[in-house]
Amino acid sequence: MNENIIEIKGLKKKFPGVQALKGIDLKIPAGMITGIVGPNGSGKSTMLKIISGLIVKDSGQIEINRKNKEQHLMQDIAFLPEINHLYKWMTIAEMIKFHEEQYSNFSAAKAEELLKFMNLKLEQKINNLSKGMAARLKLVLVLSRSTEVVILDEPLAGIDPASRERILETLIGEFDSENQTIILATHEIIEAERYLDHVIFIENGELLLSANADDLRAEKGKSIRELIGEVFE
Amino acid sequence: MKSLISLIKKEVRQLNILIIVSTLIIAAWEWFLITRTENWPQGLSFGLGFIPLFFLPLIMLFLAYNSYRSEWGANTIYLLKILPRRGYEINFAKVFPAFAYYLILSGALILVNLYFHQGFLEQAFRQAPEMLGREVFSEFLLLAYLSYLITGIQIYLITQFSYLVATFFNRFRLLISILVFILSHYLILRIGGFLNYLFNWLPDFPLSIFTETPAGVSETTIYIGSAPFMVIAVIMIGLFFLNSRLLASDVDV
Amino acid sequence: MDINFNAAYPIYEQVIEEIKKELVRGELRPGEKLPSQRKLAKKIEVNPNTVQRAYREMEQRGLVETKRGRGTFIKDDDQVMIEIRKDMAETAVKEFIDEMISLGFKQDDIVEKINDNLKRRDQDE
Repeated sequence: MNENIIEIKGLKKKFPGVQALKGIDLKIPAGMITGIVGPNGSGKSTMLKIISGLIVKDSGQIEINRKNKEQHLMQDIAFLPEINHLYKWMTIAEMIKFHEEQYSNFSAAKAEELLKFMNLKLEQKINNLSKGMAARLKLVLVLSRSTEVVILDEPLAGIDPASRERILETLIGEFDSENQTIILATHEIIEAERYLDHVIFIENGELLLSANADDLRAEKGKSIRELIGEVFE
Repeated sequence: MKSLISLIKKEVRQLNILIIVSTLIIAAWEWFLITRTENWPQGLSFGLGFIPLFFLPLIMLFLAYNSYRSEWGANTIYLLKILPRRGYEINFAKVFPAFAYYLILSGALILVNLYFHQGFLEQAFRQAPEMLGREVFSEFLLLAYLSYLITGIQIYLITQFSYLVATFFNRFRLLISILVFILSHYLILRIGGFLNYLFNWLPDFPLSIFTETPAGVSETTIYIGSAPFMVIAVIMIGLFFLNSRLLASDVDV
Repeated sequence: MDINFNAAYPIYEQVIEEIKKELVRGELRPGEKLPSQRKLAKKIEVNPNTVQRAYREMEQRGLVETKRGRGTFIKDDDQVMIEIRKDMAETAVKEFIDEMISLGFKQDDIVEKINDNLKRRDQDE
């Protein structure tokens, strides 16, 4: 595997009234779980959406070093958005079927296994899911695919503690460090801290820090959480 | 292919309510005209039977505008844009069911109307010789219907285009859509006019016309230029791919 | 192995510490095979990369050796055990003294406290 799965150079993006990304240079290591930490509005979501093709960059380069560059980018990236992006009129079963039909690397069998673990039933209508259930379902859809890159945009925000635990448990359980890279954007760390290989701090569209988590702990003698409290205003 | 069909199926399910309601209303209207208007002057019920044809393009306009507005509104545009599908696949899944609906409903409506008013039509044709110079050309009707279908598709694609362009802006989206809608029609006229020259060499459609004169029935052939049809077909295909490209590469969620 | 991780220290170091403790306690023996990286990661609920780093570090420090195709084994070497013991003792003493100093005790007081405590243990036995 290439050392860095994603390389970003000079990434800029402006929204009306705000420069969301001011020229980011970043390398995301392959086979690791990278946490991108930053307050709301820091630009981390924007950056991930640009990587996933949801938003168009203003300038800069993004190189994604995936194995099979011939197939559609989104076969190799599994993206979990912060908002609820699923069709509310579908049942979970229908959504699973739809994903199976659309993605070549989606395993319905895996999905059903994960659904059971997440305590979700096939007959449930997506409209009737609580926030925690919807978050768990979104993760099931993402992890039922064997993709090179998994991008999670705030997978734990506003989720009840029980669901959070389930989500992290499943995530680390399914993580294939030989073939997969996980990128997790969050504005607070708490429980996710122990699973991170690499951390990136972003604030106001600028990169503050990019380092191996354990190296950072050794150097600063602090937990990532404590560092967050210090580094961010 | 399988993934495209899956997308189309999903789109059809999303269109559901409007399709069913409008079909029922039109069916009820036709049924009413066919069964309940024996006392009415024959020509009236025949003519009224075609009224839904005025509404179908409006429905296409609504379907087109809603095709992506509904996705943006429910945030499901995220789901669409993270699919490993080309823009034209996603857009085809939107356009095809709408157009199929338009085609089937208008076609069925016309056929049903013609079928149930055969008596009246035969009568009208027999009276034709009295109206000097009146010509009957069935092929012309076909071309007219073709133009009607093109109108529907044109309205659909232009409305879609207008909505997509408006997403580049943060405010006044409806106003911008309307402006683009109007401007697009003008643009298409001008582009069409220019392209017409390019397509001038294309063979024309021959139409045979039967004229009934005091001397008897005679057949003449007139030629209708096919260039305008080709031009509009090319423009529509171009617009379809333009919309697809905008969706895939240029819009932000 | 049941670890409560302190997020302020490198996690891979803490994994190494745990393994060392097991060795010292006799739960692990020299020459014994360590669980596979994946298994261990699943068991203690950490990132498999963390376990990978821990194993790599231990190999570099001469604590373990990887036999190709067979796994990672604690080095069958008495010297290793002695070194570990010494290592851990150093750490324990340092931590103890750091703590005592932070409580305000002076060197002589510390030595006195140690002797008192040792005497009491003798008496209890």
